[in-house]
Amino acid sequence: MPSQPVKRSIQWGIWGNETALLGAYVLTIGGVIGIVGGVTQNFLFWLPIGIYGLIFGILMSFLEYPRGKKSKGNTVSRWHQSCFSSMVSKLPVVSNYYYRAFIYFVVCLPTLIIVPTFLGSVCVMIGCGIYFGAAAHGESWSPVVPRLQPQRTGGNVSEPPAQPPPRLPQHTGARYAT
Amino acid sequence: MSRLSGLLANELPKYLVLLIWLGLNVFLFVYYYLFYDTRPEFFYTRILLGPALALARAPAACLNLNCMLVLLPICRNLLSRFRRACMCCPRRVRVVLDKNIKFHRLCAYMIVLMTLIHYYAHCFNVDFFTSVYRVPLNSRNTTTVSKLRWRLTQIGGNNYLNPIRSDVWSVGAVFLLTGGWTGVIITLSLFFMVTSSVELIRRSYFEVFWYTHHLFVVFYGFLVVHGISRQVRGQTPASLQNHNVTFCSQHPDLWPNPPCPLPVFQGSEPMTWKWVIAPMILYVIERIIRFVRFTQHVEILKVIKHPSRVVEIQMRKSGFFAEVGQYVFIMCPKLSNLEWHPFTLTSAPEENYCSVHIRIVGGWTSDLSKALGADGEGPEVLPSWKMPRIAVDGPFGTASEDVFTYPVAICVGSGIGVTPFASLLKSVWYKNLNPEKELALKKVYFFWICPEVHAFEWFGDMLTHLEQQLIETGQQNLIEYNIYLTRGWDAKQAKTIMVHEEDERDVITGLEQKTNYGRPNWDDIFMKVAQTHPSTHVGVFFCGVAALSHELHRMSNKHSGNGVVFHYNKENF
Repeated sequence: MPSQPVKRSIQWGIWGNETALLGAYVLTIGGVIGIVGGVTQNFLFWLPIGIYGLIFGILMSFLEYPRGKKSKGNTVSRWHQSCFSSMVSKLPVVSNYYYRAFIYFVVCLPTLIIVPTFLGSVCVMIGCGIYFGAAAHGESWSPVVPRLQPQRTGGNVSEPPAQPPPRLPQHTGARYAT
Repeated sequence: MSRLSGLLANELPKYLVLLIWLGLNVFLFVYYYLFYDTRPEFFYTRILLGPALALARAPAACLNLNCMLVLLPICRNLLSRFRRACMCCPRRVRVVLDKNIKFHRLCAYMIVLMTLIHYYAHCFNVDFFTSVYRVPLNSRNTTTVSKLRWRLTQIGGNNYLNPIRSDVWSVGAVFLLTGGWTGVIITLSLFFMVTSSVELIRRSYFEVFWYTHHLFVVFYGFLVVHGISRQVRGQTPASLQNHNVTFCSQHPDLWPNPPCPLPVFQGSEPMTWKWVIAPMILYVIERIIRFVRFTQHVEILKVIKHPSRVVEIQMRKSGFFAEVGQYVFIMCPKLSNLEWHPFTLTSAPEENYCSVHIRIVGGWTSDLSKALGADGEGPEVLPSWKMPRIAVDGPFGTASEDVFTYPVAICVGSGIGVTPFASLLKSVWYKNLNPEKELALKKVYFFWICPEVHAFEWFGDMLTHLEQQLIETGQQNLIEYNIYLTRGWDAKQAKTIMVHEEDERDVITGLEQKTNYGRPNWDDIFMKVAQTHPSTHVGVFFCGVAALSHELHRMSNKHSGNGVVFHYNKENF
């Protein structure tokens, strides 16, 4: 298959988004595990941090779920991301990757103290690192606007027909000769 | 009934492999769960850890299996040799080998799932180990179990059960345990590999995927030493003899005096290396082969610029021989020392050079065309000493190799996906020059689906020559071409087409067979082929977009029956 753009045009924010989203999922499940362990075994700090991890894991997944618009080419949106996308585009600071990286980092710090949420928060923090790099590259989040009509290659090109054009009998006969 | 033979030919082998793989995973999970949950030597371990012990060890067994299997589908040389050796096997066996990347991904998903279960179960285990130090022992409410846990934890020296030797913070305990910090490194490598393997990242920023995926070296390196400290421990058989577990577990205050001498524990031997060592060696051999091929000299004979940003490179490498439709990996040290990109060969085996047609789409391909001197305006030619050095790895086999084994073949290529068929058609041409050797392949229905007019000038020439030769040898019915332009035409083109409607040759391609407009009606086409060739095995070969692949797969299943079987083969890298 043909290759894709080199480093100079890589949009790191897209990878940061994947990392932070997966980290948020792991954090959410870690929060659930923390709650289970805290309730059944009364492990130290599992219950409060578990609840905290669950809530912020869910919030972060909501924020990360809508994919940002790629600067070059067509962006493949996630399944049903439009409602999340409209919500996120109304929020004040999240389009700036610096703020996003900083907020996620601070939010994840308390979850480092118990083991179940440790992995999820480390993953989100790595996502923060990538977002920080993306912000340093001048990237930011912008919503994917759905295309209202299919793109045309030129002004005069018409829709491709569903049926082939009618041909004189000798040609149709020859094509499907047995 | 007609669908059944299609399903048997195209779906059964895949599902059989899937079933076997799933069965192995389930078996290992259940077996090792029961192993750790019921055996007497882990009785005391279970006192400390509860069901979390078995819940952590069972996915570990599945992880061993999948870490072993995940490397095998990427050993392309091994697969190609296996495919070659399997030429006498039924086609169904070889079709399964084409799904290698899908299987690799399946094993990877299972690794992720099992890693999560393993990690979350071990979260409990770590806290079970550390919480023993926090239970007050002298109050009236201290239970027998708490006293027992404390006694077990106190056992020191080499006979210990609890690897945590003092009151530490749980997260700190993770880094004290060898299994803990190696586990963190392994899981983070896995995490990075997974996030960059998402389809969007692979297609848009291939380099991110390629470089990050090499973290598998870190993954396997630390996986092999993950269990080296033997921190999962069970009672020794000798200790089980002289320490009555049922009685002594109820009376921890009697320890260490008889009848309850202190139990002695030993660690389980690390098992993972036994599972993964063979595939690791096989993969290392693959990379060594690639390195050896890297050092071999490749001579660039010609670079041809075709319209629509396609560059053809004709090369020669001593000792290199490829079958029809195979592909190679190309690397150019001048551009990048680490990137190898796959391309299908467009030359026939009968030619004394090998060629690839590269479409210039992204950074690496544009840089390559610049390095080859193909980005200039005029037809200037770079002298061979100025040509950049390139390395070729391969050839690797794919489905198209099998075309000659079918009596009838339907070959469909969309856009640049036509390249494997360029190799095939040229080979047919060469084989035809030698009329003594009769081909098993009697009829080829060739379909090329292009979005626009400009996409096929380089191919058009070849088709015209082939058509001419077939007419000369009286075999014009061997290949039937159907070219479809799907994106329509503009007003000027429509006029030209109308005017030349009656011409003997098609105005766009110059071929005798006319170009069609719009999309093919596959139901009609498959039905006609089934009627024309009753009781035959028809090979359907496709290279191109996924949507069309599903359509053709569906058609192959739908129209098989009454003796006709459509075998669906899809090209993939």
